[in-house]
Amino acid sequence: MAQVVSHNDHPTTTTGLDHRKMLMWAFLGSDCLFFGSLIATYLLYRGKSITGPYPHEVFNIPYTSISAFVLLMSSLTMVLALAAIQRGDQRGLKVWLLATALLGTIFLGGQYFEFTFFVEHNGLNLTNNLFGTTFFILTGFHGLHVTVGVIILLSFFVMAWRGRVSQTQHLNIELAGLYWHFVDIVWIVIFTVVYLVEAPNIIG
Amino acid sequence: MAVASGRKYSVLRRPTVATGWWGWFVTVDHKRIGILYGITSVLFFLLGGIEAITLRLQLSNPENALVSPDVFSQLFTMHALTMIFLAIMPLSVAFFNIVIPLQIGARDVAFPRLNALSYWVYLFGGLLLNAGWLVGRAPGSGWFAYSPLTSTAFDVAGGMDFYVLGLLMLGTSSMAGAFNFIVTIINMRAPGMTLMRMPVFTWMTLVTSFLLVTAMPVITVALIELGFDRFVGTNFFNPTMGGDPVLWQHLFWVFGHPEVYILILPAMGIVSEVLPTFSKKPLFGYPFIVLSGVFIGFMGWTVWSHHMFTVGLGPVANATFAVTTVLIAVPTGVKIFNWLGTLWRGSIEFNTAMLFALGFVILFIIGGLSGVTHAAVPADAQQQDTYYIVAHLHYVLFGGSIFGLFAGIYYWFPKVTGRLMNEKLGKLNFWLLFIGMNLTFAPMHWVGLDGMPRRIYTYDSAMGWDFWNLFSTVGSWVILLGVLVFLHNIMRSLRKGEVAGNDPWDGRTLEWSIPSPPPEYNFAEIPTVSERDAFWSEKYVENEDGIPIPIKKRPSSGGKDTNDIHMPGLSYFPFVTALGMAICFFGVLIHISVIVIGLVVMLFGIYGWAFEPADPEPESGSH
Amino acid sequence: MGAQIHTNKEGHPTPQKYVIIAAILAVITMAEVAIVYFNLATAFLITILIIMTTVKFSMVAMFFMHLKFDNKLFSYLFFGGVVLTIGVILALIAIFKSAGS
Ligand SMILES: [Cu+2]
Repeated sequence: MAQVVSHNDHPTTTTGLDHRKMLMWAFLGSDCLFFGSLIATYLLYRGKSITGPYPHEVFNIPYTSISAFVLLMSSLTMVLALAAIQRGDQRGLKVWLLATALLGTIFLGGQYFEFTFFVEHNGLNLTNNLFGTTFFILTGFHGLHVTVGVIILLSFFVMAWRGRVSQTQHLNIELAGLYWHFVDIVWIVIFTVVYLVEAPNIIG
Repeated sequence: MAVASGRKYSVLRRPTVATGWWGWFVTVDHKRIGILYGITSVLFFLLGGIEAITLRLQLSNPENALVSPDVFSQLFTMHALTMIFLAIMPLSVAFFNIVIPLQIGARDVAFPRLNALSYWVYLFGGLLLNAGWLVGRAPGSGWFAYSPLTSTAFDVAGGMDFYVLGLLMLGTSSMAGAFNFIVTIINMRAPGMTLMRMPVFTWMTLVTSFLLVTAMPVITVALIELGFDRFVGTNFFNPTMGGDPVLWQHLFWVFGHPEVYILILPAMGIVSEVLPTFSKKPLFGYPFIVLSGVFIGFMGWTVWSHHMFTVGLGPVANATFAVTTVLIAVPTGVKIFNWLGTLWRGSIEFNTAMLFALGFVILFIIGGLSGVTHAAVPADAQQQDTYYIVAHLHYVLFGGSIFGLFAGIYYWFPKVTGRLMNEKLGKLNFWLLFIGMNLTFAPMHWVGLDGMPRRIYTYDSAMGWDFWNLFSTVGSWVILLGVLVFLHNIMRSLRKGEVAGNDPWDGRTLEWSIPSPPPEYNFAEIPTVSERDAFWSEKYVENEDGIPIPIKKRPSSGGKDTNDIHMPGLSYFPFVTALGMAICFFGVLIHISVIVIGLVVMLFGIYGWAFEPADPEPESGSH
Repeated sequence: MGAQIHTNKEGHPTPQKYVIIAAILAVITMAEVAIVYFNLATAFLITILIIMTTVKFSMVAMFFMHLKFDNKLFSYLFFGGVVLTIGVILALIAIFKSAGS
């Protein structure tokens, strides 16, 4: 990052890389193990529920596909927000940040309706079988990550709105973006190993 | 780098006074945080010791009724949790904090406020874990908390709630600290300090930190699952709903075995500093020591099921994990031979730090060998859950980790306080611990192989275990005496210890090149490193026979104007954030409204933190 | 990616390229959803799904998260975690299978 020059007595780093960016990447590598353990639990318990409702009875693949698509597109808007601030485009920054937060919120709304539908129509909840337990905890903790991401994005949006995100601080946006893309990546995996692999049971 | 302009960064004014007791709450200085870690972990060490002494008293004779079976379970569980999570790990972190920036020639860690947060979360987590005692119900399931002992059906009184919540906080603290040291070590080394010029302690800290950030998330998930089972009624470990208690065992040991190396690698790092210093020789086989450390860290991920040989995983799994477990003994052996090679033909100085390092090597060899015997599946079936395991793990964790950490205390105490510890008391301290530890734990090999199960509150006299149990109990009092001598030595040396000077040991690494105690900024001028053993090479050249010849002209580090040095500013927010987190976690046991209050406090802390620049505002006109 | 990704002076793809990458990701997602409606053998289907997921995963990491253009160290930190995670999951699945529970 070339813009660290302003603080003259800041020693440059050993690798020339920014501390915070390295921290973020180490955190994301570590967070893989977090979601990995949740996914492992889900997979090891797949098909072990003693009572229903079972996955193929509740999943709505087209509905979730739209959610997955929304989150995927939020990664695009996120990276566009970063590209905007890197070239000093304040308006672009604000527009794309807001768009990303909005798409994230739509995803969360989708998850909210999916959860309530499962609970009210399918009678599936956290406690009534093993599938409910593992499904809600895995997707719920992903949802929690998305929520934190939306809060971060909105915080930056408010700062950008008040003109407090200068071009030299594009690293802040980049770090928020890395977190956001990671959350998207996790959903890419969950979408496949939780939802899509059940499809043959739904159709067949 | 947070906000471009504007004076008022947050509601709380930035603290400016670092002195007095309040200064400890707002400090971000790695040395002061290290001292906080050190004092707190020694206090918890004493608590865990009192628990151990009580356990030994109960077992001193058959059919004893000093404590009830229930209290006995809580005592051995809390003894293990306290020693592992509240004593050994944070005492290692105390050394990370104090030593790492000094060894790599840095002025602080990469994220000073995150460092303070780690400490406060550790403190609150430790208090939460122990809060069970206050309500008369501490965790009593053993430290690995196998299901179904942890379910609400079998833990009616709720001691496991403190286990789940306390360990979640402690894990958060460990991870925050580990991220910090990863970035610090990779990114804040002095010019010229390449990876293969790093001191071994720095290397082992790096490996430990990577183990922490990868292993802790696994136990975090296991604890979250257990917590949901307990607080919400989910089915993760509920067999009547298809849940599998064996999954807990897997998740626990996937974390648990790397944890073993988290406990021992820092001690190995310390020993690798102490042995060369007092043998007046460079570390023998430095690259082998480093690479075997890295290899141990990696292999630590491939052996976890050796804790589960008797579960019935089947011959394929058991055979695989037996092989990987035997394999992991190889890099450990490599280290031991290199340490011995370091001593070979050295001019050895037998002071207390060196004695503890040598004690480490001897006791760790014994503990390592008994460990390898568990790798054979049939032998393990005989040893599982007996006192033989207790003997093994105490040789590794007491004889290994604790002896290594004591070596570190005696070695770096003068750097932190400016005063040497008393050698006479130190040697008494060492011999009492060394003899006491062998008296206590060696007989456990015999009674264990004779079939005495661990974790029983009493035994029948007809079993023939009376004598050795009484023997162990007497040994535990010798250990206690050793610890008391240690405490006395610390107190005495703080006041009347001999003044140490910069370099009392003729040290090899950069921390000995600066005053003791170091100034706030550590290095007036950031050193440039051209060799391994960076400070040694400034002091000595080797002649043709490889004999070190002192260089006459000592490099002077004085003279530089230190007023210009920018140090990270003090901050309230780490403490506030940790406090909010603690309120949140305590709230789980009290009421949801308390959780909300905690969240608000935490958010306040985080936002205040985010908008507070890492560096204090430059005073007007200073540029 | 066969096509050469053009980069601006900072080494990052231009916004137009980001849109193209997003379009590819969208197409793969649609293919993923579409393919489950064909009556494929389960093992075959799962293999294809895993491949497509891996491609999506890598594309987001490489291009949106800039790992392709950034310092290798970041890739080591991240993919180290990814590889370890996959290893642990596969090992656990294998153990549970071989224990026959
Ligand atoms: Cu182990």
